[in-house]
This record gives sequence, C-alpha cells and structure tokens, in this order.
Amino acid sequence: MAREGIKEIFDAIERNPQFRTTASVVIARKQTAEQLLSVLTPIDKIPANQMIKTLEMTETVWGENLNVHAGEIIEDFSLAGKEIVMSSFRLDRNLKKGQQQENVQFVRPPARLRASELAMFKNGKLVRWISGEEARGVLWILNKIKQTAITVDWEGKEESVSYKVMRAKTEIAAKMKKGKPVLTIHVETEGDVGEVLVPIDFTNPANITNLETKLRKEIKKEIQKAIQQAQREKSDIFGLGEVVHRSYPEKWKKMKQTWNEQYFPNISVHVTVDTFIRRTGLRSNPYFP
Amino acid sequence: MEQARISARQLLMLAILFEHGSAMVIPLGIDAKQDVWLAILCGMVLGGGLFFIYYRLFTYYPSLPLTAYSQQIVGPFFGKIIALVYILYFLYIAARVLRDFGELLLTFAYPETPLFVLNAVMMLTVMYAAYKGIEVLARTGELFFFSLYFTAFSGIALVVAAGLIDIHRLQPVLEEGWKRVFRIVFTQTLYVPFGETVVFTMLLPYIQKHEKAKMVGWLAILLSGLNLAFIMAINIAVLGADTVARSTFPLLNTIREIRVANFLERLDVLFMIALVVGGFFKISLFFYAGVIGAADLFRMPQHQRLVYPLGISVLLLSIAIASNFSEHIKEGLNIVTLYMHIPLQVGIPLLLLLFAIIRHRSSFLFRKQEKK
Repeated sequence: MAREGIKEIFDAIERNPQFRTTASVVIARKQTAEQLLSVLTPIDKIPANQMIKTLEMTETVWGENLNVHAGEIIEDFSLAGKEIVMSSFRLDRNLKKGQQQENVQFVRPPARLRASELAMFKNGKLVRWISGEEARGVLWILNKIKQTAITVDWEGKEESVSYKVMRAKTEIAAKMKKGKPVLTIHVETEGDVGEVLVPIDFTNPANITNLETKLRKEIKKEIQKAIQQAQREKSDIFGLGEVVHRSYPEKWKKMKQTWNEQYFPNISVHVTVDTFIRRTGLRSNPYFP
Repeated sequence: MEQARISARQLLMLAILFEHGSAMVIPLGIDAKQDVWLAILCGMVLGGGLFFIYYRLFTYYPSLPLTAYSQQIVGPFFGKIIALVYILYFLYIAARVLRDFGELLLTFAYPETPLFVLNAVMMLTVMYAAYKGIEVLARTGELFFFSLYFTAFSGIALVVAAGLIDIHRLQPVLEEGWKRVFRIVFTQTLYVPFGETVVFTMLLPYIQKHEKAKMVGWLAILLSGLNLAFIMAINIAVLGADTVARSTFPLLNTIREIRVANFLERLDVLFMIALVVGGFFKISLFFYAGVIGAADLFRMPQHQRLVYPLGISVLLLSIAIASNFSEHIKEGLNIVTLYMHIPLQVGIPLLLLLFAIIRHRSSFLFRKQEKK
C-alpha cells in the first residue's frame, strides 16, 4: 500500500467533520494494518491505544520514533519543500497466537506490537526504511528530540559513556552562496551523565569538556548520516526546502519544481552542535578505579 | 544600617542555621577520608580563633559594620575599596550557595526543571526576607531552628534504629597521620563553614547586649562544628569513606538507606527540609550583608531600594558562574579558597585588627599625655 502511494487517501479524513486530523498515523510493516489491529495487547484493551501510547513514549524518551498527526502529513503534502516521514509498527513473533485471548495472559506475550523503523516517503510513495542512529539524526533535524541517551567511546572502550539528553533545540538557517542554497543546522543540547563503564574523574572539569567534544562529534555524525540517506533517495524529509522558501521567496520560485531532484541531493549542509553536560547525577566518580 | 535590634538568642539561632546551611549536605572536607570529622573539629577550633578577630574588631567599633569601620581604620580611600571588595564577596558567595542549592534540588528532585526556575524561586524568597530586614529574618530563624533540629534528631534516631551504623568504617583513624587532616583543615574546613562567620561582622552591631556577642559566636561555632563533625562521621559510618567521597550529596544517600519496620522508608523529604531551610538562611545572610554593606557604602538611607537590582544580579550570577556542576565545585575548592576565603576571612580582618590596635593605643597615649 505505502509503496504504491498514499497521497490521495487523506482527503476524506480532512473533509469528514467526524474525523479529527490530530489522529496519529503509522505504517504497518510486514503485516497489514488489519492484522496489526487484531492483536490483543496486555496493557491496553484497544490495540490502537497501545500503539499511540508506545509511540508517544518512545518519541519522548528514546527519540528514534516519530509521532506524526494526519494534519501534519496533509500539510507536508501541500508544501513543495517537505517530504513525509513517519513511524512504522510491526508485530513481534507470532501473529496467530496474538489474535487469541491467551496473548494477554503471558508476562511476555507471544505476539507484541513494536514501534520500528521510520518510513521515508517521496511523492507519497514509501522509498526507504530508516532505523537506529540515522532515525535519531532525522529527529534531531526535525527538532523533535526531547530526551534520549547517546553513548560514546572513552579511552578505547566502545560505548562506555552514556549521556542523557534532557533538553534539545535545533535551528536551521538558509543562505545563498553563488546562487546555490547553503544550509546551517545548529543543535543545542543540555543533559547529564547517565552511565559510565570506565573510570572517569568527573571532579576534573577538563574531562567533562572532553566528553562534550566527543558527544558533539557523535551527534553531528548522526545528523550527517541522516542527511546523506535522504539525499541518496532525493527526498527532502527535513523540510530544508521550506527553510529556503521562507528566507528567499523569490529564488525559491525557480527552484521549487526541481528542488527534490536537482537541488536537494547536492545541497551543502553545515552542522554545528553545542553539547552541555550540566551534572553527573548522585555520584561524581564511578566506584571502580 | 537599619534601625533594628535582635536579641542574643536570635543571633545564635541565625548563626547556627547559617553554619549548617550548605555545609551539611555537601561532602565537606572529604579528601581527609575517614578522618574528616577530625578535620571538621580542628577547623572548628581554629574557626573560633578567627571569630575572635572579628569580635575584637567589633569591640572597637560596636555600632558599625565592617564596611564602615574599615573606612575609619585605614582611611576613607582604602577603607572604601575594602568595603566594596567585601560587598562583592558577600554577593558572590550568596550566588555560589544559590547555585549549590539549585543544583542539589535539580539532581535528585526536579531533573527536568531548568536551573533558572529553581534559583529564581529561592532568590525571590531571599529578596523578600532581605527587604523585610534583619528583625524579620531573625524571627524566621527562631521558627526554623526548631524544625531543623527536629529533622536532624529524627533523622539520626532513624539511622540508629535502622542499624545502619558500622563504627568500623571510621577506622583506621589517622591512616595517613595528622598531616592529611591539617592539609584539609587549612585548605577547606577552616573557611567553609567556619571562616564564613566573617559575615557576622556585618550583623553583630544589631545585637542588643554587646557583651554577649563573643559567647554567641563561639557557641554557634562550637555547636555547629560538633553537629557537622557528627553528621559526617555518621555518613561515613553508614556509607563508607569511598561512597561519601563519590557522592554529590552524602547526607541524602545516608537518609535513603533508612528502612525501619518496612514502612519508614523513602525519607528523602527530611533531606529536602534540611537543604531548603539551611540554604535559605545561608543565602539570605550573605545577601543581606551585601545589601546593607552597599547601602552603607553608597549612603542610601533605605537598603530596600537595593534589594531588587542586587537580587537579580545574584540570580543571574548564580547561573553564569559555571557551565556544569563539577566546574562549580572545582572553582569553589581551588580558586575561591585561595583568592577569596584566605585573604578576606583571615588576611584583611587580621590587618584591620592590627591597625585598629595601633590606632587605639596611640590615641589612648595621646589622651593620657593631654591629661598630664
């Protein structure tokens, strides 16, 4: 369904007075939507409610899923400089068992609904799945990150420090250089140290500055990966075109038609990140020397 | 100077609340490991000595605060410079304590609230207290003194009742000898909290019976020193020296360990009360000292008019002084101690006293000669 295109189906939703455009929209991955909604879920009686709660939760605390409303999708369709991106859901394990009453009687149900990859669209057609760090990169650019945890390496040990983002803000600005648009994405984050697996002396502010630099690079990497993916598929899911539109309305008129094909894949994007570690929780140094 | 009078008892309570302030909740002098209680007691004794300097200065000028008698001792020009330095020092320390307070609340109770909001709420209360003046602050102190002691006693009783104390954690005593203890005394515990009684050079003139000032100061230092040493000893006996050293707030961890009869647990609120009450008085007294000092130096008849501009400056300063908590702590231990506490708590008062003695002796001789 999504691969064939979903562009036209929202008209009825928008036109119907009994429907609200604040409803969340997700893509059913691997199964059909009907199959997903026929799974009994242990916490919520209605599977759709469970999905909405999962989505809201993962968007706020994990930052790799996106809770998109029908209204936002409709708006994106109407804009030339913005493509659609939304979350998908899939079924873990057994579909047959999931439709039976027993599914809700297990601590670990045989069938479970899971929020999974982001779906990237182009002209209303699904073109690619985005997951993990790249998915978070997309959320960084869309200014949708509220909280998340980022891990970096420290002194050779992989993923040994985790940083809890408590607040984040993204600003995008467009400039013209030699007739071509150049975009600057600036991300600012504030947070605490969440977990360390290596002995770091946090009483020394130099170590904190050092860690901040590493985190900056990590976030920058995620964002750049997300941009590369989108550029490869020639789909401006970040709405960068709209930023250009707002700053240079006259020049945008010329670019509008060929934005996704000609301009967006070759656009140069500067990413700057400012990361602040404010405190380290109830402990300064870890208990292992 | 306000036209106000407070009784010796009120001043004593204020001083004790002030001394406990933030010292109670931070890992005070923990570099001395399990001997920290010794370091605090030694700091207390020497702190009593420091207070004697402030007291002697007070006996020479019983109706004037430090910012005024400094001008009489070393002349108007240098005296005004000294006064200005002290005013800035008091306001800066108020900002530092405010920052401590905000960070503490943020770390364990309000993780998603911006620091500015917490600091602003506290600062508004402090500004209100300073606006109302020292008499109101002293009466508030009388009220909260008992609430602080009540929480302290119930907290200690519960720690004991829960069987958490293991005296062996305090051993070996003097593992690295007296050298380490004295290093900590002279780099940390002497100045915070005992040397901070320098703020009372601004408040002693308000006391009703001047002859009681010495006893009030010494009693406050003695009581709070014993209490702080006791609290740190309990922290170590419950958690062990290493955990205390790694904790941002050891007292909180001690209280979190309490679990009596399966229902008296999660008593973090005891810690909250101690933190908010202690923090409030410490910030208030420093801020008030800064405000009346400034009013006195710039000849403002009403100190109230300075409360708002200075209060907002302190609030903004508390946000701007450090970009993260460990930077804030590091600055406090290294820079503030060396460049602010030592000269302003020990150096300048000692010099002022010296000059004051010389001055009074010579004028005394002069008068004697006149009589002849």
